[in-house]
Amino acid sequence: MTVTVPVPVDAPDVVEQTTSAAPWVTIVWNDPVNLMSYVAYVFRSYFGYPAAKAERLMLQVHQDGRAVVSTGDRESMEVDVQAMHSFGLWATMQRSGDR
Amino acid sequence: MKPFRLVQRGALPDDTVGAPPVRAYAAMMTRTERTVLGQVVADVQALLVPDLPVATTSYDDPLWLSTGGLSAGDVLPPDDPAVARLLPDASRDDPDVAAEFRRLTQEDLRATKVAGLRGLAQRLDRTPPGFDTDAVVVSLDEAPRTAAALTDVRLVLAERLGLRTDADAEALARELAHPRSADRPRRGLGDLYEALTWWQETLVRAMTDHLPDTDG
Repeated sequence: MTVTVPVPVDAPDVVEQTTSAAPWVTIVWNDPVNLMSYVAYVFRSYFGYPAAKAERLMLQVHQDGRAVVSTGDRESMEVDVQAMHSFGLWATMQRSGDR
Repeated sequence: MKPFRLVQRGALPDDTVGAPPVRAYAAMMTRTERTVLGQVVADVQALLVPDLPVATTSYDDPLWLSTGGLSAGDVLPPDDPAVARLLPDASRDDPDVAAEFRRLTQEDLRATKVAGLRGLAQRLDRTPPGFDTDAVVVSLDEAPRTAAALTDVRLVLAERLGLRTDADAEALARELAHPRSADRPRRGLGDLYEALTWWQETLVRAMTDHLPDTDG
């Protein structure tokens, strides 16, 4: 990763509110190997995102070091993270309230 | 090694009824290049399935199952950083989420990657009938799995080359541009990495041209 990632900050009340109801998110992280064209292709073909949205998310990964690419319940995010890993992208999942 | 292009299969020698046209991505590649790349692909497969000879590995094989493929207990992260990059943690700060994810998905993911690499090896080894015999041919259906397998090979090469950041990757390109700046093994690895990067880019561009445009 070329971009420094903020250390997660504890925010207990927020986390507490969100544990039951709030969805999870899938985050894709920047890496030096994956091609920009390939990352955009994956976002279009797997998530079905329009080209412009896929391009914007890809640039966010490249420039900010990461981007939230999908939101949903934990099981759905496990499916998305596994799919990203099968494409060779590095993805993680977390509660959307976490930073 | 030449770029991938969308091509259409020519008439088959024994085609009397007029087979329907088949389109695929094809790239010319010499026999030597195919052999070198095929060996690297086999090496990456071997990293993912270290205990079994690559050519005979089967996921129905009791030997494979006995290696812990269906272990009900904790599935540990791989020791080798290159394998860990292929099967990465699903959380950076929550070990429970990462461990649960590994338990649920790691062997599935490993099998998917091994199957993708095996498919890539077959495409390097054999050209289907009706296409130029010097071409590596990837069907439209196989293309995403092939691009993913190329990514996996590049991820392993990059790990061995110590590429952890975008700056590392840019430094490698500068290093390779100087005739005497890298030792021979590193130069060989680096040249292969750069060539595969370019080759994959040509495949992905062809695949992207073929995606339905969902903007409206």
